[in-house]
Amino acid sequence: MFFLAAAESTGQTPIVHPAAPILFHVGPLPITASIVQSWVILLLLFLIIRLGASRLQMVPTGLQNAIEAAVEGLERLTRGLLEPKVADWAFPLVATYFIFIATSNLTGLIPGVGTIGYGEPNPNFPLPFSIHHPHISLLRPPTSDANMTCAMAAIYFVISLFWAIRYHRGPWGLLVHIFGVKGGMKGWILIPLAVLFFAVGLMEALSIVIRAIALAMRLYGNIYGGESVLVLMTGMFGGLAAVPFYFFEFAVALIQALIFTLLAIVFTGTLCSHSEEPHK
Amino acid sequence: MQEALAQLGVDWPRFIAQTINFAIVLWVLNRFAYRPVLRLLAERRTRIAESLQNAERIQKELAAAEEARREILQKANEQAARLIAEAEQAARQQGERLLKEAAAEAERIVQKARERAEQEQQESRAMVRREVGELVLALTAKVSGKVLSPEDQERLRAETVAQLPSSERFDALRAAASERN
Repeated sequence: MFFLAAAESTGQTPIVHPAAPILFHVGPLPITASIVQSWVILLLLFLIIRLGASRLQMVPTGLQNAIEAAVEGLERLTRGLLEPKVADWAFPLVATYFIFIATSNLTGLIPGVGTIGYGEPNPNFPLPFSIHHPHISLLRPPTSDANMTCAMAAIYFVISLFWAIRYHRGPWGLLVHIFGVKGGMKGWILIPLAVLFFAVGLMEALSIVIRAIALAMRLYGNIYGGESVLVLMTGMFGGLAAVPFYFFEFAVALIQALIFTLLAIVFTGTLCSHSEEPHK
Repeated sequence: MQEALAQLGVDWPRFIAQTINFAIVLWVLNRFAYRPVLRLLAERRTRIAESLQNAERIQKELAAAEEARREILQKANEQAARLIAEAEQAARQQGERLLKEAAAEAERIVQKARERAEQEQQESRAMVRREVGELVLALTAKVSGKVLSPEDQERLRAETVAQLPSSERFDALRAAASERN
């Protein structure tokens, strides 16, 4: 982000543009580098699943072990933090968040992703087709495109609200969960408490909206920042300067996937729980 | 807000495209990975639980069988020991009985032999007396030169027999003779 800020302040074009570059159009739909890479990721995941999980054996071997370990690990993570029925609802989505985000982030570290594209030619470099920096890269990790992170957050926002309404047996139940007086108080004290809890409920409602935005922006910021650093460092010292950052970004890739997934689970847990319900 | 989103490249067409992309990923993973793998894991858990139950049951049965085997073996050992003891006792009793019977038989045979020898001895003695009596009669008739009347013969025979030693005396003489030899 520092490099981006420096670039913006001097009026220069950022090293990696915040928006994923448009490669071509399919009708009215613009196809960006991140959309292309999300197709590549989809194909990759589909191939892995077909190879490892098409003929599941009771005694697992090879790729089936890895797929089972991933699915079982994510299921345990979900079930450890949510009620069983909520975990059943949430598991497919949160598991997909982790797998897709981790894959997307890791594919961003593959040499060529983000560094092959169109840009200002570099005639001083000995190899042909050399450019200074790719202003339009052919591939870009979907998680470094705000459209994808916002799409994932929006999906989460809508589905988590649906789960919350389902869990609390209707919209009224959800409103009571958010704005209702907790603690089982009775008598005149309920009046000031109702005002207090209404104010708290407003903050809670606001936080429910902000959570989704925070999820999207946190992931986008981290991965876009990492991408910018890698592209910048690749152009220094013949690319050697990028090597330590690749190790760093490898960790960031997995950590960000885990953070997004964990936060999605925890937010779902706060929406779908009876722990703060008024006592009956 | 809208300007900030525009700077980040967020617009409706790309947003919708990425939403569809993610939805497809979600559907593919759920359809081809999560459901079959979770079903398999559940089935495997069930099988493992069944296997553990079976193993526990088999272990119990094995323990029971081992206990039964040990009991049977113990009973068999006890029975065998009892049978051996009984057989030994029966053999001992049989041996003793046979020994007694053999001893009695031997005693009986010896007694019989003794009686027979005694009888033969008496018969021999009687025969000797009779022959001696006849000899004395013949000798007397020859020496006297006359024919002895039946009364004389009877009297002479009685005297001769009376002068011969008794059975006890005869036995004593025979014993003395065998000692000398």
